[in-house]
This record gives sequence, structure tokens and C-alpha cells, in this order.
Amino acid sequence: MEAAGLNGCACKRGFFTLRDCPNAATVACDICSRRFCADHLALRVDAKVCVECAAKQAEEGAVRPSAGRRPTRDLREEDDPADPGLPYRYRARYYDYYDYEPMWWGSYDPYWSDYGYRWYDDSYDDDDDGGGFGDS
Amino acid sequence: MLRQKVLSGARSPDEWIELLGPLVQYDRDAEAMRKHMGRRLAWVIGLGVIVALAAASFQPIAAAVVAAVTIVAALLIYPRYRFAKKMDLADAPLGFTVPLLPILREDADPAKPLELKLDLRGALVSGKRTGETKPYKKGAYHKVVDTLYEDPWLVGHAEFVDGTALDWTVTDHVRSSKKTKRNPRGKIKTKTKRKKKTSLDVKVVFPAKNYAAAQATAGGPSAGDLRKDVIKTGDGRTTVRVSRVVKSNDVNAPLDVNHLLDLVAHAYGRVAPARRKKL
Repeated sequence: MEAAGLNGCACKRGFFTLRDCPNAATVACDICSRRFCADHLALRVDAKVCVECAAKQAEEGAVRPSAGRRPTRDLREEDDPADPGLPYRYRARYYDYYDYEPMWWGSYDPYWSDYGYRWYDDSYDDDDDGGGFGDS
Repeated sequence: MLRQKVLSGARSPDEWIELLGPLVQYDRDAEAMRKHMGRRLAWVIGLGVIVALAAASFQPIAAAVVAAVTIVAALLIYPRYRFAKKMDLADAPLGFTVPLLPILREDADPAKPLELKLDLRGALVSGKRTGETKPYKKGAYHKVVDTLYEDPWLVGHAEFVDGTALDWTVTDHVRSSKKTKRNPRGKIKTKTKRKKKTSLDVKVVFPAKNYAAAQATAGGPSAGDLRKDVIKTGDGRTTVRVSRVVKSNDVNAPLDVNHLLDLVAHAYGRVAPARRKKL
């Protein structure tokens, strides 16, 4: 697999499948040091943390899901749809609980090496042109 | 929209979140108001009856005045209670759909809208009644009548970035049993019990150019949890149909969004990537 570009956001989009985030990276994560975009910034007071690290921490019980932030509405805080971390917490929990292996349609990232995922692994097929689904 | 309590349309996930997010808070406020008005109504009637009865023996005129005041107060409060009850939305559909939207947004094709039909009326409305059994006997109950309701409260269609199309339906099947018996003292007692079965039916269509049928080896729920698990290939696609039934003794019990995620994850477990591409 090809590694993501240096300027691209390192977080993966998707739940059932994983793919590269198309946005440009603007900030580095205080935990994993990967660079990511504003869409993937977890809601923290004094730290810049990507939503994937924040989801891991929430699953490990290290922090509350949206620590330091007052929810916009009186929803159960964890399920506030305005919280950008919500799908990533569900994703981390789901992958851990069910050992679900998502389809991998993105660039290689060692951050994900602890997770199982599925991708087309045919050494005779050299069709990786880096293009999208619409280009064939 | 709040009067009809049925929402349908094709919008982006963000637009749906914008629409449904405030409804959750509205529903909580309406429920709190209904409970508040219900408590106030009960207090007014209860207190009025006690005071009127206590005063009746030595101050009949005062008792009559108290009774009249109680009736007027109850008549003033009741319309507010009824209005709050009428405006209350079914909790389960909102509680299920709102967290589902940001999850679907992750995989959804931004160029294709998310189609939803969301029914917030609840199952126990006359239009959803599908039948009634003839009276029958069961144990101590000499008369049992079951009324059946069918409530398809969420129907959706989404198209994902990988070309996969997802259709799902969530339907509550409610059995409301009205049971009547005669107790040892000869009094007739009637009670109503309700049970709910929620069926989730999912169809996932995978494009053959990206996915091929495979064995279910990729985690997700075991096939034992599923009521239906059918895979069909052909016409340039692989179609997986899965369904699950969740039982509950509480008709208002919330449904965990993971049930739908399980079914879609299981469908993804039935296919494997057919080529190496980046999305």
C-alpha cells in the first residue's frame, strides 16, 4: 500500500470501510504526532488531539468523550450529533467489541497496524493507480 | 411537521442532523411539560377531593365551594396536559436515528442524498392497528383480547462512497393484550400488557467492480443472531439481505443503534475487495 501524502490529513474516514481524508492537514496531534485537518480535531481544552486518539482514550476510560466542553444541547453527551468525535468513538468501540475488520481503501498508515482490516492483496494485480472509484 | 410527526425526504446527513438535533431537545421539553402538568392535575384533583370530603360533614357550603374550585382548576390544567401529550414524540425513533446520522455520514457519498422516512407518532395509533384476536381464555383470565400494531418507524436509503447502496427498515410489531379476570372477592379486574418485537431488515448492494462474494470471516455479529442472511450475486452486483428481531416488554424501550451497524457490518463480512483502489 502506498503511504498518504505529507500534507494530507492522517485520519481515516468511514465506518464500514476506511479511506483517506481528502482535507489538508493543519495541525499535529499531541498524542500520535500525526498531522490532521480541522474536521478531525477532538474537542479538548488545552490539547490538540485527533478524533482517533480521542476515541481510543475514551474507550480506555482515560477521558470523558468531550472533556472540557459543554454540550450544545441537553442530549446525552456521548450521542450529541454535533460532536465530531461521535462516529469515531462508535467506530473504535465497534471494532474492539466485534473484532470487525473494515475494508481498507486508503493509504498505508502504521497507526492502524494494531487493527485488523481487509484489503485487496493480489501481488499479480498492479492496478493501484491511486485513483478513485470514478476513474475506471 | 410537529403536528404530523412524520418526516420524509432526501437530504444530506448534515441537513438531517440540523433538522433532528433540535427535535430531541424539543421532545425532552414536551415530555417534561407533560409530566409537570400531569403531576399538577393529580395534585389539584387529589387535594380538592380530600378537602371537600373532610369539610362536607361540618361545612357543606365550603365543601361545595372547594369542589367547584377543584373542577375549575382541573378544567384549566387539563387542556395544557392534553396539548403536551399530543405534542410528545416517540422517543425510540429519535434516539436511534440521531446517533446513526453522523455514523452514516462517514461512509455516505457526499453527492448522493440520504433518504429517510421517520415516523414519530409511536406504534399505538389507530392507523397502525393491523388486527384484533377473538377473545380467548388463558390461565386465570377468562377473557384476553390481543390488539396488534405494525409500526415501520424508520425507512432509509443511503449510497456510500464505495458504490454500495444500503436500504433498511425498522419496524415495531406490538401486541397489546387486554386481560380480564375475576378475583377471589368477585371483582372484575382488567389489565393491559404490551410486548414489542422490533425487526430490522437490511439490504446491501455491493458493486461487482469493487466487491466479490466471500465467506463471512470479518467479524461482526454471528449468523446465529440473524433471522435472515441471504447473499445473491449477478447483474454486476452482490446483494446481501440480513435481518434481526429484537424483543422487549416495554413498547417505549430504546433501540440500540448497534443493531443496525451489526447488520451492515455482517453484510460487509460477506464480501471481499475485488481490486486495489483508493477512494
